[in-house]
Amino acid sequence: MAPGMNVLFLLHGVGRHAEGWSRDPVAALQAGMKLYPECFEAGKSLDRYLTVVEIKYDDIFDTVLDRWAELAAALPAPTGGFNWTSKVTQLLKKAGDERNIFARYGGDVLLYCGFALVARAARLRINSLIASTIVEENEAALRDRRSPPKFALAAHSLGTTVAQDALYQLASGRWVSDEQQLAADPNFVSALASSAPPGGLAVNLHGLFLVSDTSPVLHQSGYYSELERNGAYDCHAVWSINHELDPISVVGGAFEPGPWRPDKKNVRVGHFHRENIHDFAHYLAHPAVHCEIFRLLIPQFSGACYQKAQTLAEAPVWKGFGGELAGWLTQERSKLKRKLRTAARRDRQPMKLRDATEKYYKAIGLL
Amino acid sequence: MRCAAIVFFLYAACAGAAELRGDAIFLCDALRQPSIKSSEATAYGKLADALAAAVGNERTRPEVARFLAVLRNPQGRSFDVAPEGNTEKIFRSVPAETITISCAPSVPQYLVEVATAALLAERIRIEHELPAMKTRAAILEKASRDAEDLLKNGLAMWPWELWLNGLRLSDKDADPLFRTQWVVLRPSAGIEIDLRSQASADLQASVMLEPLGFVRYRGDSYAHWWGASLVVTSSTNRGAGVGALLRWDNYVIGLTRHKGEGSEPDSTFLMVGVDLYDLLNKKRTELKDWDAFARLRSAP
Repeated sequence: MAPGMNVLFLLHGVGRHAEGWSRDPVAALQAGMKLYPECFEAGKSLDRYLTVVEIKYDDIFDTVLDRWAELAAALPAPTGGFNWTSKVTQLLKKAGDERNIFARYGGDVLLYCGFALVARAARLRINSLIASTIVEENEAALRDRRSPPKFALAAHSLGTTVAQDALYQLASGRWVSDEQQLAADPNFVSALASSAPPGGLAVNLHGLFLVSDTSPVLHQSGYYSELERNGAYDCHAVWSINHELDPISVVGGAFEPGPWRPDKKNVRVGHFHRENIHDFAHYLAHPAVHCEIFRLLIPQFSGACYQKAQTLAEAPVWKGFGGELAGWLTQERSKLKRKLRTAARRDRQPMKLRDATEKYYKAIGLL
Repeated sequence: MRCAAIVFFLYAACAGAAELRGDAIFLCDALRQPSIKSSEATAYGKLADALAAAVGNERTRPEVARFLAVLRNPQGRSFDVAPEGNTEKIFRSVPAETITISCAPSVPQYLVEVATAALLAERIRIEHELPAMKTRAAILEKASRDAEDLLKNGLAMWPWELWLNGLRLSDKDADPLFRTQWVVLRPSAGIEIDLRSQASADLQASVMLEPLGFVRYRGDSYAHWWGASLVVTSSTNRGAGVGALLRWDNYVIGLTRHKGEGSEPDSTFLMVGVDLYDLLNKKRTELKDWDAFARLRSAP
């Protein structure tokens, strides 16, 4: 990591994500930078302005499916009438072998929401990476007498739920006992007077970007975005970013009213630059979305740059069809919109979200 | 030198977010000079005194008074200064107490002092909390490793076992992971050996079902365990058997009782899991090989 830069964690949603999955979202942010030549130096990439940390948790789902497939494969056929072991074997092997389809059909949603041990492992993986990065970056800043860096997390789809749950646990859990704290820091007792009361250590995430937010329906713990301690929200600022026709956002409850904090910022986009409007990169390409990330984390992105992005966001190309779909006829455009509306069902249940995911991927021809 | 000046000018003209640069502060796109020095920021109380002196009569303004009050009793509060639109905000995480610094047209000097004190206070907070953050990161690393080790190395769980064992978790991830895993309605393959008719080498392939049992993990990586279960077996031609088994890692051994048909007496079977059976077979082959080798060597 380059010293002295703010940090953006990226967290993926459903589907398969290999190492380097963040290439597309980062490319979308870099493409966004080109819209503001007066704010960024020509030819400089995002990593000159911002440290991006990719977080991945879907290999935990792979592990579980692989082990089920192993168990199923080792099971012999029973004697007698109903061959129940073959049925179980078929089902579990299918889930393991056809992992891509399983993931796209929303199987990841079932694994995360249905199995507490799997969800916990995913949350701990995320929290471990976030906590260690915060320590490393702050340590470096203090050593160099710099201002402490800012940390934000942009999560997508199922990732919004995982992020809310994980960070809630990180911020509200009693991870460090007073004894451990005392052992780690001999000045702990004197520091106690001015630092947080024992029982919790804040995360103080500077920004949480929930892109295609599913957390209202799927969350398993509390909402990190709403977590307060001594009258202060642990998360300094939160954005809920949704496409008005994204079925996952609709079924995930992103547009439903809720007991949200008063300063939560809702960003609603309506552009169609590729068929898969749910795609993380498709969201990040929009000026109304990336300007919030740039403004918070990139010091060079001044108030004037932010204003320019806000103006751009109102342009017709960012309000309707453009990009890969710019040449589409009215009929094709209406057809896609109709398909997306059909895929969205407003039932607030994890199973319905799984159904909506399946319908959505079928509608855009990815299944 | 001229190049450096141009670069600095360009940077300054574009820069947005507040940050400390030596004893100066970069705030609202300009480098500004506060009277507070970073050397005064050794503790919250000292910093509050320095700020009170720096702002003079402005200390009675509600936002300054509020800031000073928090600075004297911070309770872990973050003092981060963050940009939003064309403003900089202090205490953004407390909407009712947020201090908004408008970046146009000019920034009053007392707000420059407050912003400087905020950035210095944030540094103090991080310094105080860093040891605890480090401990937390180390604990999390271990907890994360344990959670994944259980799924990767532990006794593989069928979906219903995974679900049921998950119900035993506390709702706090900070609580340690269990070391005892329940076994419920667990099917697997095994071999049953009739202890009454060993002469005929009566081996029966069997499907075992463990209605209830447990394993207890030993060691660090959830890779080793021992356990016990009740077991029901269904072998190819001796009907159902009922018994108990013991488990050591992947090796399973147990005894089952099968009812005799008609006038046949009941039989006791030794039940062996597939892994243990494979191991025993392998050992037996190795021994045979060794015997053959020994015979060859001793041959005249």
